[in-house]
Amino acid sequence: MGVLSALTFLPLVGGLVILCVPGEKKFLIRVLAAIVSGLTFAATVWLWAHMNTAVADFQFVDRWSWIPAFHIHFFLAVDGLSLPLVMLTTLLTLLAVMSSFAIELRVKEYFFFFLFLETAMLGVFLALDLFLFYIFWELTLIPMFFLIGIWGGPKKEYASLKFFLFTLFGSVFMLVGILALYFSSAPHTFDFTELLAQNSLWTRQLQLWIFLGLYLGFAVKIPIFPFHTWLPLAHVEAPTAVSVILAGVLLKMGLYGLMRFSFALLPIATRELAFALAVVATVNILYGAFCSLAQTDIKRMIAYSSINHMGYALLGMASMSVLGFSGAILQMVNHGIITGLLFLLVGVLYDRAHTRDLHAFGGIGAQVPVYTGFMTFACFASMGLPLLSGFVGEFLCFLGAFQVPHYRLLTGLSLIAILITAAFFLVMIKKVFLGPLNPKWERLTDMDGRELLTAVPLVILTIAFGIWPAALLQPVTATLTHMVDLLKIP
Amino acid sequence: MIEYAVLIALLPLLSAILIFFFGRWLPMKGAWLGILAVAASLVLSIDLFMRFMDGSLVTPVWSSWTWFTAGIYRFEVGILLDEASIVMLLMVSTVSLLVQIYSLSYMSDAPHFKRFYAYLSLFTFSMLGLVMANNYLQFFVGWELMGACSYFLISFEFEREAAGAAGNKAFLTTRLGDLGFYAGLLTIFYVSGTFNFIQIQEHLRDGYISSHMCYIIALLMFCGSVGKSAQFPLHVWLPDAMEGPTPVSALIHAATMVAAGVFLVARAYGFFVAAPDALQIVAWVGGITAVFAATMAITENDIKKVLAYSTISQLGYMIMAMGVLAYPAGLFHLTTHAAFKALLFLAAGSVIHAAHTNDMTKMGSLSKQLLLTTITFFCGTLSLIGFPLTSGYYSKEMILNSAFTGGHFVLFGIGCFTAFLTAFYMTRAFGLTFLGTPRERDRFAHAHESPWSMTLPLLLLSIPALGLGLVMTSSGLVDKFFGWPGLPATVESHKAGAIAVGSGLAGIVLGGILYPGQLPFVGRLAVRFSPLYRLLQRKYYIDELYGFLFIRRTVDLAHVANWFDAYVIDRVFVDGFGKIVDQLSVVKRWVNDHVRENVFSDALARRLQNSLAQNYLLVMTLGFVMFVLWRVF
Amino acid sequence: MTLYHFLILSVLLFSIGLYGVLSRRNILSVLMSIELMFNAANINFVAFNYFRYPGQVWGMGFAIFVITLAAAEAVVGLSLILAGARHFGSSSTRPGTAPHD
Repeated sequence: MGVLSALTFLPLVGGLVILCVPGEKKFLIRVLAAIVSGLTFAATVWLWAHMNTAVADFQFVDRWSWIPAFHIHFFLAVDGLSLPLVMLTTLLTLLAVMSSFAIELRVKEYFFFFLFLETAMLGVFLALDLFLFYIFWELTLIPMFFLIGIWGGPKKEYASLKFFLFTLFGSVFMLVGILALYFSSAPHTFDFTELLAQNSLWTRQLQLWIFLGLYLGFAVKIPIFPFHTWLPLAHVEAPTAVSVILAGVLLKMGLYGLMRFSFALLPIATRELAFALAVVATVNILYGAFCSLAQTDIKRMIAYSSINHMGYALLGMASMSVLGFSGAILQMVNHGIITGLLFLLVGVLYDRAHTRDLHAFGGIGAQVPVYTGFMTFACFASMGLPLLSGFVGEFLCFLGAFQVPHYRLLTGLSLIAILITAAFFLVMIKKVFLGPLNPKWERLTDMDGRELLTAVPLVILTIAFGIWPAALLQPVTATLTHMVDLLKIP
Repeated sequence: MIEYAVLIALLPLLSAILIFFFGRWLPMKGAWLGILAVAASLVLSIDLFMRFMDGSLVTPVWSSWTWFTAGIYRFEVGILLDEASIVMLLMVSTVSLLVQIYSLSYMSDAPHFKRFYAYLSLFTFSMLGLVMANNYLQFFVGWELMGACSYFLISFEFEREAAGAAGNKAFLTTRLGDLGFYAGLLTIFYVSGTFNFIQIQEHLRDGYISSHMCYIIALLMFCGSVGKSAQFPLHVWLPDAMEGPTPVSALIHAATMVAAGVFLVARAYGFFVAAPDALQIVAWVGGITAVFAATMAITENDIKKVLAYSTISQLGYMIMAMGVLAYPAGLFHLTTHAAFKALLFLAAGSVIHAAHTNDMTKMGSLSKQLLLTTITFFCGTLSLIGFPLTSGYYSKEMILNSAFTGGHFVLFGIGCFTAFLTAFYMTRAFGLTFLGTPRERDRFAHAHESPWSMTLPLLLLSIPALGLGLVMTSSGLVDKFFGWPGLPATVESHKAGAIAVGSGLAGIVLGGILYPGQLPFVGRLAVRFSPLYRLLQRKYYIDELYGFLFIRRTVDLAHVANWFDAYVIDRVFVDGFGKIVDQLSVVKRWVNDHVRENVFSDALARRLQNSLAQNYLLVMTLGFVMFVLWRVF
Repeated sequence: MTLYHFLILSVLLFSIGLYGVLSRRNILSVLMSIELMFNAANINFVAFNYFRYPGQVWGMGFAIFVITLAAAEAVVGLSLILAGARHFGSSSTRPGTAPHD
């Protein structure tokens, strides 16, 4: 039992403990959930402090035989690629748990599912055996399905079912891809490192097919056009904290999977399909931006902006350079932080006003100055204002993509989205906060202490990573350099 | 050791943070903190300036730190002190200090007074950071931060609908230009692998960058300038930006931020010089903007908007100067313009403070009540018109002279015509505001001179507005500070000077005759030429045109995308997929209902499929028994 | 008394139980019938143990296991029936009253 297993299963154990607490003791349940997620976060901080970031190797390897008959291992390890995402997961879970204190309906089940979800997400980022990875991947669906389906909005059943079916649809192809990997390895194995050692033996044809299978699974999660329609729906219906996790962590699972498994294991296919990926990324960027501009529901708008932001990361990845990869990682982490903050804030407003319609507000800037400040801050961060964390990631993605000669037109087109992003955020700010106060909202109250407590850490991180992106880049550089080397023509 | 220069930028940032978080508990809401910080920046800038003058600071000097590294590339923050940046530092911190002092009383009863000072300080930090930048990335960071501060300050009085709209317009229009800047950054990195000014300059000098690339980069960077410096066709945001408080207009939208566009051209001048075609475009954009904005100022009645148009027009001069290879003249005009335009805006603010309106048609004869304001406004007006021996005269003369001697006769003509228009509309503004008879008695009676904290900056700014040009020209500082190696030396042409001065004087005379004495005649004139008058008043319908051509089309595109998403992708594609699966199950049900019932007898099927668990169990038992019998026998 | 006597008894018990499970409409009766079938199996265990492997206790151990299991099953089953009866107002196995419809 290594550190990583303990880290991964700590939330689940905590969730089981919570199940044993009588349901009436809501306060105790909430505090327990916060303590467990806090401990998990502390454990990842410890991990970060004790990791050797100068090398690209897998560390804290936790590997033992699990199902020997099929040569399946229980294999967890961390490296520069997964570390930032693991930290993002535990941080956002902690904050989401704290922001869920207002939940009154079936508290016990809620927090159990939440902690269960954390275990599954950590597993996805840490598992290096593809079978185990697949299991964790599918495990995230179950709590997510219930979290949306039970605690969601008016159309929660439809939304959760759509989310579930969509993701399952993708995962089936992913499973086929994984099985193809398994059967094309010489002693059949699911082990990432063993597969990596023999991927040079696979033909181009095989690689392309496997890439396609894995891609479908990841594309649904990222989400990539045209597999994205579950996202706005799920976001609109999901409760605030679930939206935070959904946008903050679950979307990154797709990009992570693409980078870790598809790119590293299938270099020939990746090189061949990189341009197609860049095209898809550009479509995502522009399409997400333009769709956002047309939304009237704030949450839907942010959901579409997520599609746009994931496009930046994908564009960076498609460049297959250290610059682009660094940009993609930064973009993933920073999007998690910023969009998490945005969703938290929209939730604050929704709790009070019970509407998210842009046109229902007007001039509440003077009424709720603190909230206005936070929201404006988050919007500017999301549109990539320098010295806030969104900028460097976005910039590096573009910079990486622009270095590839035949991506230049695509990159130029994508730049338009920067303007559109600014436009829809500013229009939102103007319609909601500026202008004369709509008398309907004279009784609106500002953020309370608990809400501030959940928002402030994200604000601090947004500024910190904006001013000092090296904090994020330094631990990942060695791994990313190694990954780029894997993609080079031997 | 020039690292301490970084304090010049960091002190205002520090004060911005302190004011923002602790301002409400500090005396004067922390305003003194902002003033103190920028005063310290000014002292440091003066120190740098003195050290440069006495030769103990040999330029250019630079120093840099790693911001972050990605792979093998190192991105840095740093300071680069050369002649241009030293002058700019001095200019920015001076204007910022005076504006902050001025705002003490001007904004005293405004809500969010604390935030105002925080934003001003943050803006000062951004601008100083930009000026000192030693690489394009840092330049861009400051550039964008200024844009955000500008947005916040324009929509500062956000309860008014117009303020919010103006903020959005300003931010988005400049950002449209910034797309070009952004693409320019990417291209620069592509061709040279660095953002450092000095290294890029070396690459240019060694000819590593093809002239075709230089042309592309120059044009892309120029897009940024067009947005930020409100050049045609992206000039539309600046008049609207006058919705912001007057000190903001003075600092950001007259003296510093809008001039940063010109400074960008100056920083990237190496690319421009290497691409003469790009210079042509720059010169023409500048020239067209200059005359275009000046015509719109003629019919404007809002005193701030008149000044805004004149700002656009003067920025056009600077850009034109850059385009005709008059690099020193462009930067010289930038410096003098900062002085006299800040002065004009602050004086206009004083007028507005007294008269409680922006509308010049409601003023008149204010010189009797506001003596100090009138005198200082007059100084600013003279300088802007280019009256001989004032600051504006020297810099504008230098630009026109360069255009003439450089062989750009059409541009020279445009410049002279603009000078004529400038003189005319400024005389008009002065006449309408300060001379003649009061048109609204109550307003006139209640107008009082502003407190000392507002008039002191006016007086202080009058000095450079009048004398800076003379001092700098006579002591040869213009060439010392604003030199670019390899440019043709300026040749004095008396003919050009005479024409330019003449057109300015003609404007004054014409304006003086019409305003304020012949107002009824002017009214008749407006009616007589009403289509033309309306065209100018409505700013050539450019706002409407853009609204129709671009904004509406973008929104339409967004709605099309949204419709496509909701109906085609989601309804047809995704739900359609679900429907197909559903149809398959319908087929199965049909088989259940029809085929099987025809094969088996109806009654038997009913009896077997009556969903009673025990029946299933019975069938199971029978099956098991039969299996056993089969195995045994 | 030979092994066959016990086996005949257990067959009879099992058949009665099976008949009950298949024919009774009251879930309570179904449950009791299942108990009968359990006990038929228990008799087999004990009888085989006694006649074929004297001196060993495996069969009896199993019987005890089954008895415990039956008790547990009765508890769960009865409480389910009780809950079902409260919910549906009857304890019949007929469709329309059963929870799966």
